[in-house]
Amino acid sequence: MHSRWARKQIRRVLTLALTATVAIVGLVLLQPPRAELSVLCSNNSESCRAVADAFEERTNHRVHVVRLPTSEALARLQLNTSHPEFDVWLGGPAESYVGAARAGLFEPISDLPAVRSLPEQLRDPEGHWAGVYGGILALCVNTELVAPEDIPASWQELLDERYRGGVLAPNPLLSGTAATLLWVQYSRLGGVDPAMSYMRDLEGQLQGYVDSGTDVARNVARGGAEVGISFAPYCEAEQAAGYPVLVTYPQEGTGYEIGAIALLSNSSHPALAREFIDFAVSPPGQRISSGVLFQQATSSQLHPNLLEELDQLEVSLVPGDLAEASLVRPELIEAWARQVRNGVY
Amino acid sequence: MPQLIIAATSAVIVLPFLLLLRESPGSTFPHTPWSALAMLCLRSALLSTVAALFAAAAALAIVVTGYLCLPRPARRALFAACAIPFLFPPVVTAHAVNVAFGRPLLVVSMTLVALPYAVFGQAVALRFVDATVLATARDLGLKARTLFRLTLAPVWFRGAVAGWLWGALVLFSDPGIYEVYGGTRSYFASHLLRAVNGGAPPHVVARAVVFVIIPALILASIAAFTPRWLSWPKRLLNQRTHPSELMVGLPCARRVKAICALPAFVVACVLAIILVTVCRGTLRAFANQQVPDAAVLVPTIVLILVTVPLSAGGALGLSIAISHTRRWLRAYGRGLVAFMVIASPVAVGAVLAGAFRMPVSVDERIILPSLVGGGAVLGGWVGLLLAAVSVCMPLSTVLLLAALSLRSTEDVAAARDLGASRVRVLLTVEAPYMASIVVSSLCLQTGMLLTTIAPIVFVQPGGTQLVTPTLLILTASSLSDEAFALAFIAGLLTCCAMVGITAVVRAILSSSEQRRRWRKL
Repeated sequence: MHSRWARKQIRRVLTLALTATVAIVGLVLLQPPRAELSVLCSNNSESCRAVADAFEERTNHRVHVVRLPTSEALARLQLNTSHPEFDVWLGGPAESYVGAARAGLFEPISDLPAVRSLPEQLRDPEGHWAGVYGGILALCVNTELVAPEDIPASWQELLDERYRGGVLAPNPLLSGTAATLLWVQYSRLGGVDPAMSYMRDLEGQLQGYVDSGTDVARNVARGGAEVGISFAPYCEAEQAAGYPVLVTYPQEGTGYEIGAIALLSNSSHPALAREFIDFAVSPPGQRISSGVLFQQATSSQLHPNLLEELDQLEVSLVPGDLAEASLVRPELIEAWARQVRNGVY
Repeated sequence: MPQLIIAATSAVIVLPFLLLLRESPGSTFPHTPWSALAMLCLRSALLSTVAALFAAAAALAIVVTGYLCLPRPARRALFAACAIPFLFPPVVTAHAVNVAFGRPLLVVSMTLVALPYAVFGQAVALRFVDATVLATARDLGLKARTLFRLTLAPVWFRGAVAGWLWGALVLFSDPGIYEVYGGTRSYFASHLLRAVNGGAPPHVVARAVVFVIIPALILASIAAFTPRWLSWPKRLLNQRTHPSELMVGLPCARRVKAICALPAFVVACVLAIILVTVCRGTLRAFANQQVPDAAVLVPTIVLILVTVPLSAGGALGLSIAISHTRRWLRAYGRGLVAFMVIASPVAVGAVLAGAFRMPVSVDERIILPSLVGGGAVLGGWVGLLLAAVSVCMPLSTVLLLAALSLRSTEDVAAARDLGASRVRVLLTVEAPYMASIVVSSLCLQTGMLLTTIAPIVFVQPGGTQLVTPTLLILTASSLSDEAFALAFIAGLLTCCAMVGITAVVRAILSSSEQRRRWRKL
């Protein structure tokens, strides 16, 4: 290199390249170490994180938690990607798990001690999933925006003029909570068409749809809407955090979710994933989860648990069982998309 | 070589569209009727253009007030204040409006989002008026009104239209603001995002994006044969006039001033309220120890550090290739660039997600693995990089094509005659001409990556958190303080990046002659 100018430029370029390389390497090193177990969370993210933290503490294995609404999570799992993305799916109504098990997305976990100890109605008879928490579908009301005498007590009251533009609901295309809402309407009104007719009327009252049931409770708690449709524990968690919200159960009847957990087939770390599931389903794991969120435990060793809560519920439960709900679920979502939304979301 | 670069770019653009045509057997995903899609697209386009038009009107008031009523420092401060919404993703601006005024006021929020583009378009256009033209016209005794009509008005109009359309495209392409504050109505961007997140198969995505891609193709074809938009006049390098000189001389200046001052003041107040709301939320978040997680910021910074140089390199290669071709190939290259600019980021995101989320197999053998989302090769970073480059590269290419048209062939020839090497000529003679445009391009790219939700949100792998998708989640959950704190830090990063990039380019062009030219630019 004969030119002094060129030598000077090379020094500059090298310095710049070195600085950039150091910056990129430094930033990459700042990234947290790679997790050994990847958990897809369709429950409240804080609840999933609490269980993962406790598991990390017990086993010294890093757990990575990714939060996605239930239906979105199911859509993600059904994609035939080259490499498995997650090891465990935690949270979200069991109806989605029934469909996923039918599609061969899960490995059996029925041999795990914690799973075997669950009541039979709260786990899959074929052992593909297990109930890890429960929640009852309810109305979450902001008591600062709604006067005590105006608090809605039924599904029909939600259609009242005074709530127009003040109701928030989850989007059935993405949210498991919304899928349960569709099932409740289908079950109590006795068919797809009356259910869709109700959902059309309800849409006239809505302020909007949000992508997740947990977002509904958060928005209502912070004054973003007067009334929201969500699972009661999400609303009770906001109440415990000091927000002015109240849970009411619709008089015509409601439904509930069995929040499930499952081991995904092609998991990269099946042994560790099974250990995690066993911990999450066990009474200590459920206690940690319900300490964050007021979800009912599925373990009969914990009180009050889901079955006790359902027994004591003042309103009736809609008829139908999990198998039927899981079968009708895709049909209901498709009907909602076509009949209520005219194919747009 | 130029032909090869253009062909490779075309292939990269066409491939995902071809992959979208795959059938997905057994898919039960509900189809959207053509008529509903058309209505959706029309409604979104209408709302975006109307809001951007309001922004253009507000920008007009601001620019007139700036040049007619305010001294230079105050004018600069006013124009800088108009850039505030550019520092945050649109959904954060809408959320700040919601927090500050108790309602999201969709059209107001959208107008604020489009405001920086409108002000930028008009203010920059006015700086393009040549002082020598002004002096000559005055020497010829032209009236101020005639002078305004012949010199300032055409440039201003073009700048206003460019800013308006740019703002409208940004609004049309942002799913966040519609998703959180769109109510029960559907809009094109939020519809596409929900469809992709709900697991829409490729052919369903293809049906939807047709409504954006076909108009983009038509507009790009028109642009390909009207090359004036890519070649800026060399008089940009001449001494520029101060628009205020010309405007003050207008007979109706006082009346115009009175009409424009109030709206400009109102807009400035609203912007101040937005900034105060974001800052208050940020302070509350820090006081409550809700500090943004480094796990969100670090991947975003890594993405910027990799994408910006890569896009700049790609843009440089493509623009040089186009400028070295002739006739139809040059027109085709220009059309390609125009298509990249006009194709909405939301359509690009949906296309990338639809095309590359699932592996491509032939006879059960995978020939192209999944590139997008979790479980994809390299953790989904290929998809992220493609999305980020699709945000940065088109605008960079346009700016560089314009910069290449500003090169001084005489200076280059003189330097070569004096024995300077090609590299030295490029760095010492040609680069200073392009420096200001390159700096603007790099700053814009960085800012866009920190504020654009689409297409990144479509391809984000599950395990990787990035700033804009996280902001969408936080605002949708009504977690205001956390959202404002993260948006504030992202805005701060944008400002720091702008200062840093300018300093680096200045350091590179550090000879006294270059500094002189730099200052002139």
